[in-house]
Amino acid sequence: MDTDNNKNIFDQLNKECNEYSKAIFLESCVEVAKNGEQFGLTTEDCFPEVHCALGLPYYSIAVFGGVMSQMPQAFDLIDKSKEMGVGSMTCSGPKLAMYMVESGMIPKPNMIITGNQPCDAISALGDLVNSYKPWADVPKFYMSAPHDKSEESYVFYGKQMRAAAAFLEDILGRKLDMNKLKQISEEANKQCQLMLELQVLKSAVPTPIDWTWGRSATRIARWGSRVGSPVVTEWLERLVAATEQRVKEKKGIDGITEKIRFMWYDMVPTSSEKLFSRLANELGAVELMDYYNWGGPWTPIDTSSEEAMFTSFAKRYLKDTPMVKHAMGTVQSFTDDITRLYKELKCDAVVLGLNIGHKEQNAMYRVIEDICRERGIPIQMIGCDLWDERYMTGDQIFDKIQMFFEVSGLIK
Amino acid sequence: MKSGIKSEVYDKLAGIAGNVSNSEIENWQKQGGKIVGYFCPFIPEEIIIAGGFLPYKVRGTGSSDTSEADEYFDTKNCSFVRHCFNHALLGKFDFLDAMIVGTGCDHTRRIFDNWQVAPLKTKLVYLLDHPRTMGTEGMEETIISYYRAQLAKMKEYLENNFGVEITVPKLRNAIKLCNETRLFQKKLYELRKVENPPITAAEMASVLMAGASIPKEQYNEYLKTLLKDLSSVQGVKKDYQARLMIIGPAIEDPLFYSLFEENGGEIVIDDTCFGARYSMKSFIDEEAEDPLHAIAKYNVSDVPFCPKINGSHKNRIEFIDKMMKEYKVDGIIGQGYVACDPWGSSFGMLSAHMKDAGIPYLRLEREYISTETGQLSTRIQAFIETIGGRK
Ligand code: SF4
Ligand code: SF4
Repeated sequence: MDTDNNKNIFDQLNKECNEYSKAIFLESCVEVAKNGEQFGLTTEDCFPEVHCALGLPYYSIAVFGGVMSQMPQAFDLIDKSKEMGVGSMTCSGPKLAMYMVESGMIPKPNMIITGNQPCDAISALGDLVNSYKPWADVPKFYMSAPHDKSEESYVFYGKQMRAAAAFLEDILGRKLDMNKLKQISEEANKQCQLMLELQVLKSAVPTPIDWTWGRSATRIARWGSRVGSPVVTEWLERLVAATEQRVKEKKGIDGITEKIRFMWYDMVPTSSEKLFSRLANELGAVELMDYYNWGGPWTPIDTSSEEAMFTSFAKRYLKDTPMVKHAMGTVQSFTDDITRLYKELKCDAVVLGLNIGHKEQNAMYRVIEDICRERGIPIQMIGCDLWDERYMTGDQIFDKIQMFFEVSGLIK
Repeated sequence: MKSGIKSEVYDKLAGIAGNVSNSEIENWQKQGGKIVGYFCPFIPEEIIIAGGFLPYKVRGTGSSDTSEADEYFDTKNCSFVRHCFNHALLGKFDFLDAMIVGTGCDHTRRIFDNWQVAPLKTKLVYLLDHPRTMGTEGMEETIISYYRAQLAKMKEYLENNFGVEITVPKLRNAIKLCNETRLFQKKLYELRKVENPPITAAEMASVLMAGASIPKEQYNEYLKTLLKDLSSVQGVKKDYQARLMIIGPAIEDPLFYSLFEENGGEIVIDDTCFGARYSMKSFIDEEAEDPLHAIAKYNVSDVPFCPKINGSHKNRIEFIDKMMKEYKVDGIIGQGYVACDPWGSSFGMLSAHMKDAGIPYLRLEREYISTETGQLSTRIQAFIETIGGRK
């Protein structure tokens, strides 16, 4: 494959991804509502496979906050949410979503599923959605994600998921086609395997593709209404093949001379496009892994029975989805994942976003630092607001990371 | 301001509330008794009592600084958690033989992680996973059963580590004992319905706080005596301008209550963790065949006013509305700690509800221990004056 051809493939993949991921934006939710179609709203984006099998468009309001923080009017909306009386230190993503609900910016859904994960702020957003008066007549389902990591906990959550699916069936007046769910799940298994393959390829030195590709894969393979669609599998296969080609050719990210390899161990901030490209261009520092770039491993969905499928959904959600897994897990599981990925991806350093909203991370950051130091992993805490750049700008984050690389001897 | 209570028992309870440790704890230990600490009412003290332990609700009384805890928690974390952990690091809770932490919120949950690595004398620490929803219709039993299973694990943890057996009759007795506490506390609350309550909010808070720091049998005896002492007392006639209800997490700082009293407000009822939320709802079934199930059911279905519980807002509002009527409340104070997401958003919703209902509402976001009270006092004064002006 020649260089131009390889570039064309990536351009094409990018174009398709933008098209497929439209479903996560507000406009598409407005569109569905305008067409009079039924749609669901959730804070507990735990079983996209079920939504897809039911053919139910749905909107993860938890994702909304993050996605909407890119809007030009985001700062204004965040400030207005403070006027509502919401806690001043609540994560800006859900805060923004809270304001959007309260001010009627989000069309009225036909069904709502809320829960308590991954964090208090999302749980609080769920409660706000549930008590929003204009939506009082919308049927609601509440879920409780367990913190305990035993088999019985996964069965418990799987049962809730099955009941939530029955709740959706009742409202829609149609049954969940188990064969279809099985097909989607098997396809989703393939997709997760491909995401893992992509992650393995990224461990090559130099890393073949930039951080945005993992995010694109997550957007279409784990979020929204195309999960388990063969179109996505095919997209991922092409991405993996094109990446593999670059590895074979020992090609790094175009235009970048790779000098430092690091993980941003969190969701990426709104400033990430500019921040990561500055780090790559000015310091040769390439970002290899973050919560959007997560390649797993993901628990395969066991399709041998209905119960097995739902228990697998529970596992995949609670023990594999990085934000959920880390926010609800122990400091041990958090640092064990850092260590594993640091080694697998041949990283030089780890940066912890330490979002102001991540209270549970803030509550253990010293222990994380100590454990990482003991294991010889250079780590830097940032302490930004992922969704509000006014708290810490991308340039300030850049300076902090640059200094950390200098102190760690990574910039000579 | 003091109500003028003349009661030896009250003085004793106020003394207990004013300190982290107390003579009852010392006596308990001298007699070989073990003490188990906990943070949140979702950790059922009934199971601790049934194991023959003294349940002790950890609090930051007397703390003025969090510098030790800030080596573990960030300053973006709740000051309640930080003050308590600071006390732990200073050895103030060394009398605890074990500590039970719940999965209630993102801050308290990390006490478990930090407790394990911090140089603390109390080595045994357990994390109890409790559900965060009351359950949708038809799902309650699934949620209750899960919680019951988690309670059974906690029971086993205590049994295995201390070589005790927590039997069904022991659990039933413990339920009875705690129900009795709730009943007496409820009676105390009822005394506050009158125009001049014989006990102030700050005094009441002390009485309630003391209850979570000493053996229950003894506490119930104290409450009986206190109720007798108060029945013959007329409250001090006060020229207050507003009867207030306060809502939020546990308030363990008497200075905070005095800010209302100084500014002409009388807090007559609350919806706080160890206040009315503990005592005012219902009782645990004492005769239940499976007491663990009864405890789980109580915590999942009967008392979830706490905003950490998904879907509980409606239930909370109903309780607040009911209490407002019964206690002739003029205005509502929503007070929570900086960095608290569950209460933070709940207050946003509460504010909308109060606005619709035309009820004066003041939102206060503050730290667990009041140090800078000037600004708070000014806001409280302005709020109370507004209510006074409306009457
Ligand atoms: S605190 Fe973290 S998990 Fe919670 S809403 Fe904000 S970004 Fe998401
Ligand atoms: S006040 Fe809020 S943040 Fe603090 S411990 Fe309670 S629920 Fe958690």
